[in-house]
Amino acid sequence: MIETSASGHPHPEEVMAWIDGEGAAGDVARHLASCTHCQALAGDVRDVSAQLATWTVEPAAFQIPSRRALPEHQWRYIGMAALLVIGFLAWSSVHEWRGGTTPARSAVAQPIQEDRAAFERDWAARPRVDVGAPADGAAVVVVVFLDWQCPACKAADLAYKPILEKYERRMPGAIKYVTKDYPLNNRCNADVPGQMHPGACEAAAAVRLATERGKTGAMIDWLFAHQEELTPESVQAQARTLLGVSDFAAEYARVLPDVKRDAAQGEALRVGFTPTYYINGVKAQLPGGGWFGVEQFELAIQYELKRAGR
Amino acid sequence: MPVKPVSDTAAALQTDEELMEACKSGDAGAFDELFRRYRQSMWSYFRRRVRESGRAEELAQEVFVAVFKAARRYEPRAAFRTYLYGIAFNLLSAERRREVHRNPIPSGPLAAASITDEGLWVRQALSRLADSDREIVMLREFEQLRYAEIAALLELPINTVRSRLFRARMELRRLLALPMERQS
Repeated sequence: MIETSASGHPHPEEVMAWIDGEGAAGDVARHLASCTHCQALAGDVRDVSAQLATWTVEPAAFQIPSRRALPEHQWRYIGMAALLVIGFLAWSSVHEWRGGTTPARSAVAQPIQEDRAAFERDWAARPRVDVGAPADGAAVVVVVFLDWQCPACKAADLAYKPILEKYERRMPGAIKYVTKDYPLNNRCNADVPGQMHPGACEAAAAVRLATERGKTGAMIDWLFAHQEELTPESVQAQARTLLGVSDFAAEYARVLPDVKRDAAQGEALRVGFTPTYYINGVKAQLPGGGWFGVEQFELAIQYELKRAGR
Repeated sequence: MPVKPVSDTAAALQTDEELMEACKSGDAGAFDELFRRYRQSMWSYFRRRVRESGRAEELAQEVFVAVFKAARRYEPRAAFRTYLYGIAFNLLSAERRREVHRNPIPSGPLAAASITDEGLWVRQALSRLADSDREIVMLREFEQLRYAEIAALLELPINTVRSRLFRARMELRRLLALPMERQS
């Protein structure tokens, strides 16, 4: 049944809705077949759409936001920010969502007020494992298994960074941040089934080469800014440009065992996905395997600082 | 039990909602796939509505960061696409509030036009519509949202969406038929 105007034609909005694929189509279609008046209206609607379509937009060039360039010595703390995201998600498994009206609004809603005591009980009960990262005097060691071509790793980095920077300002050197490679590419990680990220192995090697040359931050910034199009060739070219590496194949072969060692450790720890964070050996992850959120990550940091007497 | 990352092929076969469920479990491959699917859409959304392209890019990026941050909280109450545009809409609304605060004399609701742009005429016509009508017609024509999705996003009855959309299109028909110099 369609709405009709006094003239016997379908309501003009019904004609428009039919063109848009909305509402009951049959009656409008039959009417249009024999009504020049309504055919003209339909033509007007289509013509407007055709003219609007001339306003085109150039292809997107952006990636997940990149980190700000930071001094080299700060890098180890920056990556810790990623932990916060994982913490956030883990917490949500214990505490039901208490905010938000619509899904759209919940995504940008205010942070949940955490139940610190409940979090700390959960955290304290978790096993601590050796993740192969000595503290070197730091009160808290944050280790992340990551893939430089993984947008989630980049997003986590962006989300956690402000918290890590905050604690570095308050307690310089109290937190040590360590990255470990877990490339989602079976050329350098036997624990994954395929080559999800084609340039991930070379990216892992490139960061190691950059660290040897004091350019870790610059290389990571570039990798994050070009995640979408990373290939072995593009990483090799950047290693030449940024680091002056003329024989990438040889250098890659030299550091590849270290990349594989990290990945194997990740496999032994049953990392499974990236990014995966450990804080003082405690897996910062939901019981079901999800990411921690920002608030939970900070609670974990605070707990470990307090535990260390800081 | 650890979650293995989904392969590119497997991710491509999943619905948006299935991918979000995988994101909740920390699946980086699922997040990659959603990013690939909606990067251009989010960029286009802001590019047509924000005057500075650099700011448009930042806002598009912020959408994905918000998705990541809220992944664990996500509940499939609506289609993921509606959820995503809801985030974009909220970010745009906040941006416009900030813009009004910075510059109380508005300089126009749409992206800055270039003389050589093919869409200049269209932009001029759209800028003459009422704000609410313009947003509805843009969501329909450029984002290809269904009436129900627009209604949910703008919190309007679906019949209101339909009537305003029709009004906007008829006004655009009139404006686009005018000689260019008369529009300006």
